[in-house]
Amino acid sequence: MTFRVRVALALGLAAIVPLLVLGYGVRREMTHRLVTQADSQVQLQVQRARDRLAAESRAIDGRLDRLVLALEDNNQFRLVAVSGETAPWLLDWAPAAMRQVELDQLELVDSAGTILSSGHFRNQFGRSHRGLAELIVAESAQPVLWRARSATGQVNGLARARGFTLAGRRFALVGGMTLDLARLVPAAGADLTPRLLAGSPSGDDEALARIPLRLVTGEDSVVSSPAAIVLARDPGPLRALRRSVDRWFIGAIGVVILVATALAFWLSSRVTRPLADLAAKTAQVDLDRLDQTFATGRPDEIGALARLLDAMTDRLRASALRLREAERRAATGDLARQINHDVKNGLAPIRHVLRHLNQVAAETPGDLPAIYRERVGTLESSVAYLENLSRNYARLSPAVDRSDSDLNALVREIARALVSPRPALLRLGGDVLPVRADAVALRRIVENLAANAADAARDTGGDVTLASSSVSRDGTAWVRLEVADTGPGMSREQLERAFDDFFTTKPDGTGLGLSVVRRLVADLGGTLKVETAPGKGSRFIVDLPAGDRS
Amino acid sequence: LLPAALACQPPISTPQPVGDPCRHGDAARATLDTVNIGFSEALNEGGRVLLRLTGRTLVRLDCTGRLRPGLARGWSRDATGTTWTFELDPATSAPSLVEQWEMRRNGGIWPWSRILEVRADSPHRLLVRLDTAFREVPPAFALPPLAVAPEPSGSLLPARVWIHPEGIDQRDLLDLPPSGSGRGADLLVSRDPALIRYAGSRPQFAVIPLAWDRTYVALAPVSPLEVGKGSEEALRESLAREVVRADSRAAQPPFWWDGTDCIRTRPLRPMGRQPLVAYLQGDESAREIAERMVALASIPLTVAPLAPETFTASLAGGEAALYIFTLPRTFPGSCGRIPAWPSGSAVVPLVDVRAHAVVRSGVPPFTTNDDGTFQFDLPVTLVPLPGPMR
Repeated sequence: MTFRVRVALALGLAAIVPLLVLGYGVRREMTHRLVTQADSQVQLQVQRARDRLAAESRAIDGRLDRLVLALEDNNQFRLVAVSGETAPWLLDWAPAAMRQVELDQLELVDSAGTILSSGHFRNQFGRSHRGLAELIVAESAQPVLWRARSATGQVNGLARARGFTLAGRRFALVGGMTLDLARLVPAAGADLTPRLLAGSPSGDDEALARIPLRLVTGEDSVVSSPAAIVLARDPGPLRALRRSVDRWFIGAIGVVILVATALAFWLSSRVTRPLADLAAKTAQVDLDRLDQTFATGRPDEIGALARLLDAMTDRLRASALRLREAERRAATGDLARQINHDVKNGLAPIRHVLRHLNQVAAETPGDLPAIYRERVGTLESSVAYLENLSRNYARLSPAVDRSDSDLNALVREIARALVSPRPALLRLGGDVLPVRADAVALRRIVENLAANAADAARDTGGDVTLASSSVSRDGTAWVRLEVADTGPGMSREQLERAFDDFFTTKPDGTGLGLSVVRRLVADLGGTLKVETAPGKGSRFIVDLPAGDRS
Repeated sequence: LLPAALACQPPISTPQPVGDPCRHGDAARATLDTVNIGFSEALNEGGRVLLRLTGRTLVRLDCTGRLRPGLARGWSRDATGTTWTFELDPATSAPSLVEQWEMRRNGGIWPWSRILEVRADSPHRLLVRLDTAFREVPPAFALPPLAVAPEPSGSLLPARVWIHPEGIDQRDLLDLPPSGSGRGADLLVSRDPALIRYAGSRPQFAVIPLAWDRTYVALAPVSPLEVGKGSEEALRESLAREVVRADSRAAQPPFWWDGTDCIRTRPLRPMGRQPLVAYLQGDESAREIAERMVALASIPLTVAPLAPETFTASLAGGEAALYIFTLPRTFPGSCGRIPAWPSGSAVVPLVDVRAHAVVRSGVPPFTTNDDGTFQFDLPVTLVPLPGPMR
């Protein structure tokens, strides 16, 4: 995992985790408040429902009392009571009375429970509701719900009963009002549903509150059982609200994650890009390229690091110069000792010949001409040796002047003078830039590499190829010189020492040619690369800074 | 207000005519030259009465079921009992009667399929050949669809006839001015007990019961339904006395549908019976009977008012546990008017009902028939109503 990714992840997590915690907390708090609010609303509704039930029970009592008074004053009904026989008009009494006093259930029964008149089910007369009125009166400590039968089904009503005596006979009136749960628990809220629950309460339903009732049912045999008005919460609205909150929460988190991730990557990119630039520049630093600069105007840690790298590069550059100077001095010392040795070697035969000639001139002057003729060859070969030595050392002199030089012209000139088994092959680029270099140094580079190649090709009868081209490297124009031969090539060991001073594989070689080339190329700010293998020949590739085309 | 509102209503007054029990009114006291006649019946029922008002049959059955002359003053039969000769009154043309019957037969309005041939033997003598022998003149000759309009030159009674829409207070029709200057009804046919009681309290109106014309029956598609522990007769009496508020009595035989091949039966649909007592929507007497059946049934039932088309389809399939509906007291002449029901159904007659005619003073005398219709001495000619009913 890269440093940039780590920084991005750290930034993202730093933004997302607190937001997740915040969202969870908000959601939890919201849910808690909703539930608490709903619970308090339930308790309020329950109290109101109890009050309404009590008020409606009182209203039913009042209406039944009025009906009892009306019946007691009704002479026709008194005749019914006296005779013990019902009358057709009585069948229509309860329906009319029920409508007038605005009840939904009304029954007039005699002491045996026989229905004399029914308001909610007119044609039910004659059936028995034995014990209905007594049971309702007995259970009236709680609201009593009467499940009465009608022609179209059943009707649940909040019921009350009144007994009265007329002409020595007992009668009872049972009246009720339809239990309208929506009216009983108005404005309960969309998520609060009142419903009637018959039977004993079970603990496994979702009831929030109960208003206990007594449920009276039955025809010939009337019974009472527990019931309740149950307020249950419809989980739908709360669940929908939670889902809505969750959707918004997830949406917000998603957006934040996207923004935070993008921001994190942008920030990490901003943070790590200077480091990456420094790393790229640092990667280009070596002893041959110490011109790299890291300077930035940043006042922060990265700027400090760049300045430290700049300082380090400066130290490296100074050390490299010192090292090169040390090398140069060491090479000069070696060279002086070598020259001393070589000159001594060259002078020793001359000294011997001169000492011999002096001795002959002193002892046998007549032999001097013959002896001279005998020893003059030694003198000439020694002088030739010294002259050759002198030429070789002259080649080691450094270039001092730089100007634009036509590499192709130089290559053609040197190729013409080159002594090789076959004429050198030329592959010169048509649009090669001039080389920015000292003309003598450039000539020595080309002469040495060409002579080397010719020597190698001579051993195998191979070819020498000289090529030139313009190349671009790191946005900078360079001129490339390639000198190849099809000679014996070099082993890895030979290649490692090829550029050392005085290393040569040729019997008459000085071992300075490639060493001089390496130094001259370095002095000109160029690079030198060798591709070689035993039996495959060698290719020397020299890249030199290009000059101005004009 | 309560004691006064709960006081019982007076019983329906049914004045008995003197002499001919089927004839009502006094020709000497007839002052109205145009009669406004209103019906609170369905259109087909009103149509039946209209045929009786505007036409005459060869014979008729009066309110006691006695055969009376109509267009025919006398009749005889041949030895086989299949050819009957009717002597028409002088004002009636036999060829015209034959022509009207032919037009009715060609128009598909033909109530009695036993007539094979009708021929005018002379200008006032009619020969009718039947496919079955009869010892007495067949009562089917009194069916309203066989009534024919009188000759154009004959005397007619102008009358405006309407079937008043549902929902109006019929008492308004009695309180409006009579036919001479307004739309008040001079003769109103109704089954509404409240209207009849109100008319009985008004001195200018007489309330005349028409013949028992309908019988409410209970039809159980599968088997007789147990309704109460008393006898069937006690149930009928209770229904007539305590349940049905229209003028009713316990259904009395004979019932023309017993043993007739007119009833169209259908196979019972293989579906579970719904715990319903179905009746025709708008029929208050049927609703009252149905509610009583629910109250007395040994199983939980509820009433179900059904629209006419739904009721007919449900009855044909036997989908409900019980059906309450009416059948005419007299043979309607056409079997097509009887609904179909599942074969094997138990049909129990419950109560007979009848309508009443509320008659304003000054209305010409009229005679009631045994099928619940009535007719004036003169046939009625219809005149336009003075304006739309409000």
